[in-house]
Amino acid sequence: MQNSLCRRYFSMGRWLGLALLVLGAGCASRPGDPGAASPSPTASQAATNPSGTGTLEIRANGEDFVRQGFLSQDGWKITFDHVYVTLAAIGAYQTNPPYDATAKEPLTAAPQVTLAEVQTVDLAAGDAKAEPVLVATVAAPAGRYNAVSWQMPRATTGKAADSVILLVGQATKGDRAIAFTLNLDQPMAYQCGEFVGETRKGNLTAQGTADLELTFHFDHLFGDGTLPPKDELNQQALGFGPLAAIAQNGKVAANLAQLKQTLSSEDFEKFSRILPSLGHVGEGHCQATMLTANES
Amino acid sequence: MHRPLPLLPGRAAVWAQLGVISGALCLGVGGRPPAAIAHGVVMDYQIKPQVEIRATYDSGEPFAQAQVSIYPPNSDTPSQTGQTTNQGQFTFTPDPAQPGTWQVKVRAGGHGDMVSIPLAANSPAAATATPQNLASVGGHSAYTPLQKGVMVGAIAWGCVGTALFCLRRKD
Repeated sequence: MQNSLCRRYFSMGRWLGLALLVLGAGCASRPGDPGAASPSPTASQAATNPSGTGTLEIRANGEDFVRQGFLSQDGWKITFDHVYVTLAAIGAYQTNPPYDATAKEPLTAAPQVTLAEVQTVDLAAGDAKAEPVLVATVAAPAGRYNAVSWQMPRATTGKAADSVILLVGQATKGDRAIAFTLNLDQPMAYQCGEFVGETRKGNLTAQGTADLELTFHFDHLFGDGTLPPKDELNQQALGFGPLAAIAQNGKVAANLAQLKQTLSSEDFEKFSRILPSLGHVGEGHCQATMLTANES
Repeated sequence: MHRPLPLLPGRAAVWAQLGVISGALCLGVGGRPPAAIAHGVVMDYQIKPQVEIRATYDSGEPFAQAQVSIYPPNSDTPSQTGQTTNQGQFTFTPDPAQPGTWQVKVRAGGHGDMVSIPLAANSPAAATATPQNLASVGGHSAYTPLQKGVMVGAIAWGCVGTALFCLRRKD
């Protein structure tokens, strides 16, 4: 009787052992193992939220370049009447580990806050000392918001209709004055990590208020005349000279397709390369994606 | 006014390298008691885990004399500030009592970047992490719960089988 039980036990054991081997092999890969499918550093988990909610302010900032004007790398004094940017699908995230846009991997975490509304704001609104434009104020779970994403579709209505970014202003140099209206109508999407600036942003406590900033660097396009010509920024920038060269009767008004036809291929290529680098979070860099009109 | 950093060439890259500073020459600080020998050279050393930051532009040019802020985990207040060297380097010693994600912000002239450095509790191994393997430092259990269950089941099955084998009757 006992021997029979023993034989049955070992007979079952062969099959169970085989099953355990298969099971064990199937889950043998662990995070960190060479060759294992390790989680993407950007496949972030939501950070543990402190309880409660607070108020999250989302702002858009064209910086003092837009509000006060600036000198381009090639000596043009540039001032803006309007800098319209159209924003949509703004997402705010609490990522852990913190999302690193420079790792060139997509932001896959789920946003704690999403603003689906499409809206166009004027970054040049207000006087020279105006605060960054308030885009939205939303109730949000408390926690550290260390990543943000947004899309820039073409506006369908309003003064900036058909544009993604619309720059309206004047450029002067010596006795020349040129009015410009540049319709940058390429839809884009940005995924960014934490704001990098003088202070940290995005730490929202229960019942508290925190802000996030979508920052736009237009000196990437025109350069900065206060810096040496050999500065990296100026080496990459287009300046205003190529646009002045295509002005007619003191005006240049063009969208990207028209710029492609009128600028030299080298200058248009430079222009196209600069376009995705306009979006930042403070000084922090973002991962930019060009969208088709259908995607935006 | 923030002067931005071009996204393409010219972007600042911040590398974090953690290394054990061993045999660092320190005079009269910690480590073994210095030997008192007339006219001799007094040498001492200390071994401590440090984090070395190296910040460069995309071009490879050092991000020199940049302002550095070190943030302990879950803090908006830097525990330490300083400047990178002319080689774009900065070294700090994180408080081992504060495990978690340390963040280092480096800024200069409108250029800037922030790097996150995960440090495990009481883990000297963290001190040898490199930028490539930082993500793997800290926190992972050696085996998943399923694997542990499989192992426990196999051991239990083996014990019962062994007991039955020992107790079997001879025919």
